[in-house]
Amino acid sequence: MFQPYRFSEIEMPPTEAALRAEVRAFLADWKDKWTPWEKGHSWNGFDREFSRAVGAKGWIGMTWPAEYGGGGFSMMERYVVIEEMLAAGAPVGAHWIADRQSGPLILKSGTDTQRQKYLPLITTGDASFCIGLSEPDSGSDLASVRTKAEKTADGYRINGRKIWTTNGHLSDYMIALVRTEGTAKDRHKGLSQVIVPMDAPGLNIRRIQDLTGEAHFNEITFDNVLVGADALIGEEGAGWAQATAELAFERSGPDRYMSAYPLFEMLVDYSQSLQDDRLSERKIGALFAEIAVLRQMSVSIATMLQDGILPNQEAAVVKDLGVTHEQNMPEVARAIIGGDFGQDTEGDLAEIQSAILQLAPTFSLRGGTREIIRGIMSKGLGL
Amino acid sequence: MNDDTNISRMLTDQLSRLLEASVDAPLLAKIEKGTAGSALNDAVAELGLDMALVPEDKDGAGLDWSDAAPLFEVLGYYAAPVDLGEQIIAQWALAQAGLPASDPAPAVALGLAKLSADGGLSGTVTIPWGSADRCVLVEAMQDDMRVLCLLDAAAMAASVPVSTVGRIPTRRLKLNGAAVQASGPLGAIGLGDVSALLRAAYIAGALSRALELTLDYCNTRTQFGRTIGKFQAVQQMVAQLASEAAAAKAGTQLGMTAMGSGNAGMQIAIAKQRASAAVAKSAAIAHEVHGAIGVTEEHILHYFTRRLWQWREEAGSEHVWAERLGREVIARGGAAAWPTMVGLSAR
Repeated sequence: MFQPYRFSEIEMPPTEAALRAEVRAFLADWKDKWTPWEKGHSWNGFDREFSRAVGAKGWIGMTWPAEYGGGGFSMMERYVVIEEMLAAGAPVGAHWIADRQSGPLILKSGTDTQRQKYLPLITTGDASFCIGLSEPDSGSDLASVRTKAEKTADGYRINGRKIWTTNGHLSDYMIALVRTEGTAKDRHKGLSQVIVPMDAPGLNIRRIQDLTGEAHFNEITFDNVLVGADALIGEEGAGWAQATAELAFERSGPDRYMSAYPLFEMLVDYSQSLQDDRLSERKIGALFAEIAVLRQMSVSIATMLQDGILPNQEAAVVKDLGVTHEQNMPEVARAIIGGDFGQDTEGDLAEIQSAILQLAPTFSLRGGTREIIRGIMSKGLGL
Repeated sequence: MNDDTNISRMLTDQLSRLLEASVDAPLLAKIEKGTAGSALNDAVAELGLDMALVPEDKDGAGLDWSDAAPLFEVLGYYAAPVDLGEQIIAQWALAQAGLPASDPAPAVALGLAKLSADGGLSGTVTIPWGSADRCVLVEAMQDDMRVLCLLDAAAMAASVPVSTVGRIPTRRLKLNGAAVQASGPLGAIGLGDVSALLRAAYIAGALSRALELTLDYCNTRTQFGRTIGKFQAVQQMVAQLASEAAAAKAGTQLGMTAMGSGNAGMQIAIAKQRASAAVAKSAAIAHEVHGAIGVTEEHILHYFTRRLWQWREEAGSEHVWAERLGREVIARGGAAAWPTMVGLSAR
């Protein structure tokens, strides 16, 4: 029988129940502080104080070795913690990127000095990372990046621009994909990854106002920014392979389908107030089934990662289905609520709806656009 | 990997080899006309797979549902040319209800009947693969109790053929107080539930075949000087078909696993809802990519898409199951939704 994917039965760790209970108890003290608008921002919400509290519980860098501040937890235990955070709509943005991809990258490809320097700071919630991939002329076509890092006597001189950097203005470090050799025509060759402190002289941050009325994105200009030789992560010229491996982590987690979960919870309560409304029963049931299946697939991917399997194709499937689900949620809300709903943003339900509605267009862009993801899938299927 | 998984793999391979060697479009056409020979049925019967889910102390293979799932999916992958899946759940249900296994296995009726105090059944049921010389299992409510009823072949005399999109020989039976040959109580999971779970697995298998056929066509059909699979517009569609097929399979997996750990009611609802919901888009894409040749009688694709359209309705459509599931989730309230969700995969 034709079976293109390796999704398997899932098994949660024996510590699951105790860990969940602990996370929920922790979140209970915070939950009431977040407005529906904030909950609608999910992992884009940035709250350093919250991240430090999460760090104090040992829930950042959970799977990393103890010598770097990690907790020696399994990937499945980390999964339990992060899905609880997302379900609650917690503002995990100050540590999310570092916990999900920058830290693992440093752990895997960095020097021991880099690990000693950055990882402990990440685990306490004191170091926030942002991602420097896209450029004004390099969006989906990432291999065309032009930002240059020229060799100096004791490091690199960086010139160029990065864009769509989420929360760059609040972050401490960026891991940037730069060209250490050749030109944009050399594509994948000659790319490297460097760590740049966001307060480096010559680094200029321009905030980009977006349609929500806020400014999550940034454009970062590098004007002769000098970094030491120890800024390089891994091998010179290995940036493409490293960055794409990193994207596998970015594409595979529960953040790929849970951005709108807090709205679902509120819709369930709203439907309860309708009493035996068949339309809302059908809509809620379909959403619940959709989430349950996405979770089944997402947890299965975490199991693969734990077993050392790189689940690029499976992660693409979850991202394709997951973001479509997230983006559809505000439309389902409209169907359930009807009436005058949506004419203003007053009230908890309308407020979270307005947040997710306006953030939703980015769901299928971040981590690779829907079209890029489907292209990856079709290639994987042999087309 | 445990022994049961090895046994399951071996049985699945046996079944696959047999079906691969015998199932093609002409055979499926014969089955739909009700004129198929009994050769395949006999060969399948020889494998003895109908007892797969019956406990070993009752002379079954004692597999659990997760291990039997590949058998069901393989049947879907070959457009289920025999009712082996139904036979397996029939023998399982008989064992659940404390009734002896039946040889050959009875047909399985869809629909819930009513069993009166005097032992007569009422209601109307639909029986895929039903025939005048076969016993049939009917699920019924006796007051608040769910019971499994075995009717002998004589009861089928009152049945009439009914046409379906799937065109598997199907009969409808009006139970005007029909006498029950044997009956026994069912637990929380009834015949209708496992019928739904079986259809979910059939759908997952048939979707994987529809995807494979579509990929083959993409890689062989040439237009504008290149294979159509090289066109991004086509690639984007095929990726969506692959996603839907993967979701149907994952949902089925969730349901099958839950059968081994207590109450699987919600997981079965999820499995059938998601599998049925995957059909509309998937069948549409498979046909879109195949073009006009895919709707011709001679092409094999329609045996899969028509069964997909059939199975998504049988034992409850995505809408029916969504409504049941939604009612339950809403009754529990928003705060309980997440603990319920993660509890689905708890052992």
